[in-house]
Amino acid sequence: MKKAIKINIGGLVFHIDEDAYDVLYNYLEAINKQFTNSDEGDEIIADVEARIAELFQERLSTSKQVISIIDIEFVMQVIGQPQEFSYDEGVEYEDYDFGSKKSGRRMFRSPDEKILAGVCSGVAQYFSINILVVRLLFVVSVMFFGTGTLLYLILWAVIPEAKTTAQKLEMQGEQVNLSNIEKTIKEEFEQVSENIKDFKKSMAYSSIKDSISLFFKVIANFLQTVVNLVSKLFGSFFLLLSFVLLGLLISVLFFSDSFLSPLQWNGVGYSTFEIFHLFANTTEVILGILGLFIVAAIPLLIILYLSLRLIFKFKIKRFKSPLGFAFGIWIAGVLLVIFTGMKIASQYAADAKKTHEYTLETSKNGTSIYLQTFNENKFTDAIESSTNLFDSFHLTAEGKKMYASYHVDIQPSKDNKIHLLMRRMAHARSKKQAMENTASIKQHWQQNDSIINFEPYFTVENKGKWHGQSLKIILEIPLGQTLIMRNSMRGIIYDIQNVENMWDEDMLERRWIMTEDGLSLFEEKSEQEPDYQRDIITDSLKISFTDSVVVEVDSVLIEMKREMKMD
Amino acid sequence: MKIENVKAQMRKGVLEYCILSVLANNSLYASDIIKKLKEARLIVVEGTLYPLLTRQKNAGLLSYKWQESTQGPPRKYYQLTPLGKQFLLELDHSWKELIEAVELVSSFRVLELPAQSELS
Repeated sequence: MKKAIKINIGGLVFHIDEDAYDVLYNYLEAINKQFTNSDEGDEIIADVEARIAELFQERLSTSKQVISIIDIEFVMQVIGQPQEFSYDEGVEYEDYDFGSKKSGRRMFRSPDEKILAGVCSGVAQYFSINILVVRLLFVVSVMFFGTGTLLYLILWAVIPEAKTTAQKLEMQGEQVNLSNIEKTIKEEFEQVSENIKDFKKSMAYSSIKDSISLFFKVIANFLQTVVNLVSKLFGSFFLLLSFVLLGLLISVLFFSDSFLSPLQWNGVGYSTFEIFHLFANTTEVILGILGLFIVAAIPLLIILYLSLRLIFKFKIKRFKSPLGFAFGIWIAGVLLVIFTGMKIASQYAADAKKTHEYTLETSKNGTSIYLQTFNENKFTDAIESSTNLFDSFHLTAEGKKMYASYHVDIQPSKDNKIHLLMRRMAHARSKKQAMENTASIKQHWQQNDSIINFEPYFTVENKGKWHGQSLKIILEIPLGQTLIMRNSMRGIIYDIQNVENMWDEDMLERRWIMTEDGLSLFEEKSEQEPDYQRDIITDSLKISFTDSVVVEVDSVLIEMKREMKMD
Repeated sequence: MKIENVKAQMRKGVLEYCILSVLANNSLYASDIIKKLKEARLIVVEGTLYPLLTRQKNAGLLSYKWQESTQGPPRKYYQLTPLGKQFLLELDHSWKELIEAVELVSSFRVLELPAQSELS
């Protein structure tokens, strides 16, 4: 009694003795090896398999239903040995030992057990693990910002499909598992030690020339073993590294809730798309992000590909030179980035300035003018819960607003009135558009008698794009007018011309007088004025001064308008 | 240099020409072609044929059609393309030239042979 195996060859099903199967397997494997490097390989193998099926059919009858080893030998005789196939001159093929040698396992995509392209089942068969586990792992990795999808596509592209019977058999070749790797390494080292023994023998008995060549053979053998092992380790490391980096790249570029985005740290939650969208229109943003992705991802994909090759040692038939192909796409990505960058930059080519002039009430009977900000906390709160985009621009989560700081300068007035010049600046493709863009700058200020309140920032209108907006306020003070800048003006005043050449910070809380050469120190300390700004907070009472005065007692609010004198 | 190798190479050199010749007037499937070439003792093992057929097909000399078969899976029937026909005509021509050339050279040998025997 013999065990028979059912095989599918050339589209027909045959029963075959187990020993005959082994010989056939090795024969097909040898043919496969012979043609594995040529483009026609798959076709030739398919043709040969069809012929084998035909020959099998001729040899079977109702009284003989199982292919035996004699049939295989007949087939091999008729079709010939693979090294006889080639008619190329001068190309020699090594002899292949049929029947005894069992080759290692190779990775193929499995066409028989596929959902999409058979990548998972190929991987599962290669490592002899349950296909469900591999599929689950893939699904999980897809959830890692879609990186698994990318990995799947790469594996799809690089792993050939098992088309021929020999390839399908190869998928189940000798197992690749830990004990097998261990076995292989052991065998290789045994080989090395064997060689060393030979080497010693040859040192004793044979010529020096022989022993030298043997010595190098021993070294080469040993090195190959080490290199093999190290390359697999390296491959695994870089595979993991490139996979993780790809995931992070995708998350930063395409996902708004990426924990990596710098704008996440203050809970602002802008996606890369939204940030780009502040500067460019949707098409440009998509092109720009795509370009950046290509430029950054291609090197990672190349590392991924090379490490896969290092681990699995497959050959690619589909792309002649995958690296050249990748480089081409990379160049396209670079061009895309440059193109989009230039397009975006062109939208900032022209700038425009628009100045509004306001004439303020002159202070009565020579009292000093006080410069201060509205409730200072409002600004610091806004800034604290925002993220500095660049320079002085801040983004906030709330309403996705843009805040920006600006500067106040103080100059002598040409007449005896106080003037406030609001100079708005913006950029655009054209001068006219830039002029229109200045309107997006919103800033709030208010005069109450001798006090001028400023909002310590300006905002860019909601849904507004960044057009390089900036703001400068110039306060023109009549000669002889005294003025005090409160501490809250600290962040706003900038490089104010003064006779004493004091730093801006030192100018705070001192009384200044306007002269023709700019401000001049009038009094070292400003006299104790009631501080309108400072909140008074006790356990049961809270009084705050903003546009109005708010008194809060046990959660009951009383609001008083500014007109009330606080003398 | 082994005599077997030289013989095999001579056979292989003309094999491509012979495949085209076999297909000159009718479309055949691989086993038919093999049968004819085996009759002519041009090939020893069948395996030689498959790479050649595929290469000629890829070079545009041959094309094939799938045809249903009564016993077994559909078969590939090969036939000459217009390019293949042109190719065959040119090979016919150069084959004739080659025969003439070889015969001419061989005829010199017949004349020289006695001289050689005289020497020995």
